[in-house]
Amino acid sequence: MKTIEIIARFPNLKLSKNAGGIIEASADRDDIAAIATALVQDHKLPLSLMFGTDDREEKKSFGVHTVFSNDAEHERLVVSIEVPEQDAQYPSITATVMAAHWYERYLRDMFGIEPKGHPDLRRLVHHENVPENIFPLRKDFAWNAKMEYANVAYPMHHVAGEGIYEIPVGPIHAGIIEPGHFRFNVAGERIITLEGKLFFTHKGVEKILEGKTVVEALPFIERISGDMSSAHALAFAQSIEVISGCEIPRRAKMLRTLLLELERMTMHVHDLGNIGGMGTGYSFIAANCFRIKERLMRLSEKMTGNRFWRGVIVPGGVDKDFAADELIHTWSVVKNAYQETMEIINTALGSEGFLERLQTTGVLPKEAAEAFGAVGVAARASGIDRDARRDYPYAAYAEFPVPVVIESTGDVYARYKVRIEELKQSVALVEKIISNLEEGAIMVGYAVKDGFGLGSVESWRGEILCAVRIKDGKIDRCFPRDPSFCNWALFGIIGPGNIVPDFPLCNKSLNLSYSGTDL
Amino acid sequence: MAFIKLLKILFFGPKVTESESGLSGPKDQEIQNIGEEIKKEVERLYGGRSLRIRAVDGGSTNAEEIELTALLNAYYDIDRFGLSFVASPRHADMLFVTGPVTRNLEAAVKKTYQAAPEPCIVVAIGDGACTGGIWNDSYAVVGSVDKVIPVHIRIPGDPPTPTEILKGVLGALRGKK
Repeated sequence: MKTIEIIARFPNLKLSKNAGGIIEASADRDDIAAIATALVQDHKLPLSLMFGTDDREEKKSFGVHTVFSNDAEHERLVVSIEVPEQDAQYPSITATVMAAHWYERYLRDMFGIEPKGHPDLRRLVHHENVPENIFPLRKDFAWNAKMEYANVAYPMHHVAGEGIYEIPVGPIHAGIIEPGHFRFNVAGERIITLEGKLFFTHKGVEKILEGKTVVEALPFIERISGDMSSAHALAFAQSIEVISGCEIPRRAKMLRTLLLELERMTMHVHDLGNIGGMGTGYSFIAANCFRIKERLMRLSEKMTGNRFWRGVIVPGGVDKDFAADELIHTWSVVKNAYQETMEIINTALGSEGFLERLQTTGVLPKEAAEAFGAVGVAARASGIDRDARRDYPYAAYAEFPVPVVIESTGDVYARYKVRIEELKQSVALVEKIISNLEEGAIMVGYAVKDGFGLGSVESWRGEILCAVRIKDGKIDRCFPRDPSFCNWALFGIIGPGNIVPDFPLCNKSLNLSYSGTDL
Repeated sequence: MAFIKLLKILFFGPKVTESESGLSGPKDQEIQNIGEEIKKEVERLYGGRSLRIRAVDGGSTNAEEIELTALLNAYYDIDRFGLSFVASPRHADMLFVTGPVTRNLEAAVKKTYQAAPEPCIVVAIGDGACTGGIWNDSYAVVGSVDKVIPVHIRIPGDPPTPTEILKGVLGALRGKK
């Protein structure tokens, strides 16, 4: 059903704008919980994003914006409510729409907007050291403010009972990974509850972006998460292009797709080696996949001048063109990398011991994945048929569609198989792009207009949604939501029931970004 | 027959993960040379034993971690030069700290440094760790690593490549007595 028709069924939902697949509507703040519940449960439009804005200067109120996805119609519905400055609260939607749970805690920490009735209003972003009543995303908080050091409680869940003990892990881990703290409550080796404390790498990206021009913002966007630079740059570029109403040339679209798929390949090869090798102790797999990944990183260095597929995608197109012989070289590296990876992976899949570790480990049931609003590989491995490349086609994905890879068992093995299949398709797509590429412009001029834009990209990790609002030619608010933000809480479901030594395997099978979540 | 095939591969097959031809570029020769130098310095300083490194993420974007992990792949394989990453700061001669150090990690970085035995060489890896980089002055960031713990050597870069990191380590060891 078209989103417009759905809105017509809600007398308390006022349509305000309908352009380019983004439908904006407003509602009374007291109705938001009921509207969100009906949209998610009756109309099956999953909640994809929720963010706040500080509109006190014009309206004496804050804005809370919820974004629902109408995949079948390729439309996003943005429902906004106004929350008055003097009474900054609204009825929480978490009780019925679980996917909102972190977004609402985030709103409370960053804006001081209270979701009334939220079942778990502990701190999320702010650790103990941040004093009470500090709301960094309010406009009267300076980006370079010097805060006092406080010691506010940051409680974690405990389980009591005979023989139950806690294992704290992190934030500094034994391996070379990012910082996060995990608290296991276990009986023997079996995990009973698992909770994470994240936001250790919170650098204040959203606040820094405020007041920046589009060009100034790009370096920060590319450094939200080091391993998905081009995907974040594309999501941001697309939201700017939506606002400015610019259509980019075909060659630029195809080169964007090429870069995104090369980034996906690089990281899928990494993950196949990391899960299969480091996660299980089958180091032969890791050694080989990491060597192939290094070749892909060197390919990036050759093509883009850096090892992270960075610096090419810009609003308006791409900043660098590739000569025909360069692309032929790219294809030969990609083809070899793929063939060798498959040889290694097939060796792994032929091992009973290997399969034994992956199968039935870290199961994410479909209902849980839906409830938590899981995205990306984790969602597809649990049977959720969503992929922004098909549902909200961007770059060249409309012209060169990719089939969506679905598995149903939801275990580590399912996530492994989804990655293998996606790797296969990335390679096929890279070949199609390279052989169909025609000469042409790679960039178009655009004037930055004021307005709201939403860019979505299916990165190798999952769907990025970048919401941008431009005011007076500068960024007024930008929330680049990393897929990791949606998936971190899944550990509370995936972990329990497994033994502690299987946790690294579960962790690697999701491979979430800390920096991308923490912002 | 499968058994005979296996024996053949074991005894007469190729014994490397990457064939020689794939590893003979000028870049790889450079790594080899730097590595040999590092090996000599480690021999001089630690009497033939190895140099143990503990990596600490002080708030990076994870690009630095990717490059540190890359040091272990077949192209760089730093173990052959007597360098290795350890799981605890208590076993470390050297700390690699990436950053900028965020407020939320300040205590963890300090504690890690205190847990490492003396003398401990602290290396700041990447622009964020060296100067605070583009994140400097943000409300959520403390800044460069030297604002939290003493830093002995800085390896700038966004992020520095594995080769640059190795060069930096060599520089750090050369200055030591």
